[in-house]
Amino acid sequence: MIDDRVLNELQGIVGGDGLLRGHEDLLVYECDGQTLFKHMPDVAVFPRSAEQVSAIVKLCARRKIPYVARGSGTSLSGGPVAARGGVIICLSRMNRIIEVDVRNQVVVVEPGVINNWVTDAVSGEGYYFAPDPSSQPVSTIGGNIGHNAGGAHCLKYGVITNHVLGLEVVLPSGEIIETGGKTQDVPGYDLTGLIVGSEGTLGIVTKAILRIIKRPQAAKTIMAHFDSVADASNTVSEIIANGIVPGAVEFMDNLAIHAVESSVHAAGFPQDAQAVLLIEPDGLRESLDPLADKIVKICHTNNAKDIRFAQSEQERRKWWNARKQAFGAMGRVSPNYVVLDTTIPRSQLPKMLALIGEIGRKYSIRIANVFHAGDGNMHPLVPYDARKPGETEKAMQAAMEILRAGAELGGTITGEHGVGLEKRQAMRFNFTPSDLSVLRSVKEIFDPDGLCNPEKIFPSDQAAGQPPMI
Amino acid sequence: MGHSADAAHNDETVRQNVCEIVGEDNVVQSSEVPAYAVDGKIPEVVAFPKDADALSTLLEFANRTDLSVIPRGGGTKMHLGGVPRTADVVASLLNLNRIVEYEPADLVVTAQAGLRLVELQKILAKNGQRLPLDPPYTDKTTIGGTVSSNSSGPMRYRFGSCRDLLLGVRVMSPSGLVTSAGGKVVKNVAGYDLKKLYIGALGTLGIITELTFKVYPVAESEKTFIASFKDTKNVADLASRVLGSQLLPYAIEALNSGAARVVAEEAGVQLSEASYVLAVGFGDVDESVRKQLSTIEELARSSGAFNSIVLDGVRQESFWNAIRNLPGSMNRWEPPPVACKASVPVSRALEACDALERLAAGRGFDCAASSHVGNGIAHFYLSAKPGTQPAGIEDLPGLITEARDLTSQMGGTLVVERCPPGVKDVVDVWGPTRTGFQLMRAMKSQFDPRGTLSPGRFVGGI
Repeated sequence: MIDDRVLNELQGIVGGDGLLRGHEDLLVYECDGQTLFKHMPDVAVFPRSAEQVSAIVKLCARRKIPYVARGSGTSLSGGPVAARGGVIICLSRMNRIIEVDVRNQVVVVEPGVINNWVTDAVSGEGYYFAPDPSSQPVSTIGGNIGHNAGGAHCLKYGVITNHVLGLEVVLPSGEIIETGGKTQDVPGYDLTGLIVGSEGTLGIVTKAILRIIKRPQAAKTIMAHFDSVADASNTVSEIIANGIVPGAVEFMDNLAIHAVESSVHAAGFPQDAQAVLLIEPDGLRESLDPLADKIVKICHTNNAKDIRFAQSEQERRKWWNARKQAFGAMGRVSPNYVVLDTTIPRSQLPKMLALIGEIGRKYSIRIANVFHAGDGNMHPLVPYDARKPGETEKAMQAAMEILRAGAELGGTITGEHGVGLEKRQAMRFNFTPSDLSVLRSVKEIFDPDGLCNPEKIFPSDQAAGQPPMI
Repeated sequence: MGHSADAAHNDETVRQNVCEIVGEDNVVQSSEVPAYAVDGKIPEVVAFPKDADALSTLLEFANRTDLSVIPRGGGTKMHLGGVPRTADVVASLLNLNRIVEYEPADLVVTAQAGLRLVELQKILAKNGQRLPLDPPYTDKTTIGGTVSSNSSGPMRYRFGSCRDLLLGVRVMSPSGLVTSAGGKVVKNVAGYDLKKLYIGALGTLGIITELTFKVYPVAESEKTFIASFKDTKNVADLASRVLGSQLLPYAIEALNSGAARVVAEEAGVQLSEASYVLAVGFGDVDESVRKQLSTIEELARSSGAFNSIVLDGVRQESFWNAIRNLPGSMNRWEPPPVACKASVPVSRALEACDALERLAAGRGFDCAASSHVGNGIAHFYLSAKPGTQPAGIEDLPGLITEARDLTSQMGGTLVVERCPPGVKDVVDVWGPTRTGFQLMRAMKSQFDPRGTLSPGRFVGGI
């Protein structure tokens, strides 16, 4: 498929230092954060411009070579993986912030820019880029856009699609198009909205116009500690039902607390708690005390055992850091784990937690829960030891049952991590065959040859709910 | 028992067939059909299918027999878009008006497309919630029509527009098949975000039959600050200071003198004669609203406002309603003004209003303008100056083209939202197409291969 002529042409496009092909060099590109799905690419290229990306895509189209766009590879569903081999188009060198336009509340970036850099570029003016996936110190805007990334603060501020105004995209035909712009309501079908979250299967984003917003004047971070998971989840429902929309409401169960507290990120979360909530109202300074009072009252009504306020920005950051490192900390509990991101209607949280518990018992797996409770976006962590025969399969089977249970409660199989390779077979939990055929027809319009990040999103002919072939 | 296209196109046969499908009671009397004309095109038949099944059968029939179908909700946006190439069947969604599911604790509601927004808001209000979408024609517009026309109002400053509030849709294809996109949860990345395609598409890709929205609690306290200015520069100054501050308004709306007069009259609110008015709506806990009001009063004084008032309660409500319903109020004028929407980078909204007003004045037109300043959007209404030689229809295309050039120099776009059909023959209401248009056309052919739905109303003649 990839012969010397192709390699020479690729080299001609990206230059001598823009290409990797040695087995050792390519190992990094074999998988993403979901390490179950490993596929070696034939070559990785590092373009520096949209024109170079276009030339690579055109070459691939001509020679019928599959290609996959990739950022930092922190995704968790096997999205940026060369499932059919071919070319990895790594956008890490397209990492310029092209324009900071605070007056118009936009920042224009290349896809390889790291999420945090956007906020860094505008924080001096009191602005920030709201989407805050836990990976934000390392993940790229391109990857965030591909997955329509969320984060802890989406309850109030939305996910990345709410913060992307326009894109430059290299289509699978090689054509470079622009969608949206610095202005709102650009006439025409909302291609920006369609491409955000398409997991790099409709084209490759080479530029993004991002919306920045004013940083809230103040935030108050509350840690509430509960003896029962049900009390904690009832607290979340009651806060929302009382008309309070905090910036974030995060939930960690006992197993997750233990994992974090025995790691270097320990933040003093109570290890005897069955659940901890981090609740963060934000806004005008004047609004915080009244809001905090209401929240504390609701926590007490629901039998909170202890309630603490972050005493300083430093302590607040420490708590958040511990929360955001929770997945990593699970490494201490078990060598491997599957992290899901099923999202359910908030009112179903207690029921869903109970179902996850049941599924865990059925498979004798201790499933940890750490999640964005405010928006119903759960993150069950299913641990396993890949070295022990059968454990991987068992964990994936349990994962599939969790996804099915979430869908049956009216939820989605993925709230922010994407379908990738991991959740393809679960797509049928959310979509009828007719729904899927509409989705497929869109893919065919953009990518009739099926070369642009193939094998992702759409279920194969395997039966619904079967663990994906690894 | 297929109908041949020729047979179906005989007026009476079409009517008969449609009567059989949806029931005679759900078909408009022939004498009333002209009232449903779309840009002057009188349909052969107007049907009000009683449910989704009847709509599906109707669509399938129309699609098979090459009849075009124009979906209709409250009928408030039928002037949007290009003149339809044909308008054989107008299909009203008004009978699809049920709440499908509402769980207040989830802040999510699902309802059928023909439900009027005002009815939905009443139901949500019982739980202290609302859908923060406040498009024009508040009493009449349906939720399906609002989304299909991507309609919005001042509150989009804080809460976003349809694309930010819509969680899922059920859509009927031209062959009558219903599929879903999105879901009922606030974060969802399973599959492509197809619902975005249907927003503002005027039904050209499918007819939305059901919608799921995220809703918000109504704040404990809501108040509106209104400042009056003699000079455009000063209002721009205050607007940019508010935008750059830590104030958290719901809405920031600027009105030029023409628009302010109409709003004041409709709302029954006394506004001093000013060249510009800036209205800023706040909602939060009481302490915060009070603090914000005192901050903005300070800012307004130092920006050169010569007068300010604070509204709450019923007066506040009717004031914002008058702003939202400006397009309807203006349209009662004789002749109705031409309505345009300019979208420019946020910081240039008032500059655009000012420039457009001058341009219009130079061509003998009055210009009433209202702007969602924080979104860079300006709506303006052009009418011939009274007493002058009436500027005729023949002057409009030139004026629109100049106005479009002006906005495009500012990096923006201009859409003509309402004008006489004759003008639409000369000027493209949507403006020029851009890169990516081929994809849009490909999508239209994929979703509606026979060109059944709203043919010609969308961008580039789609």
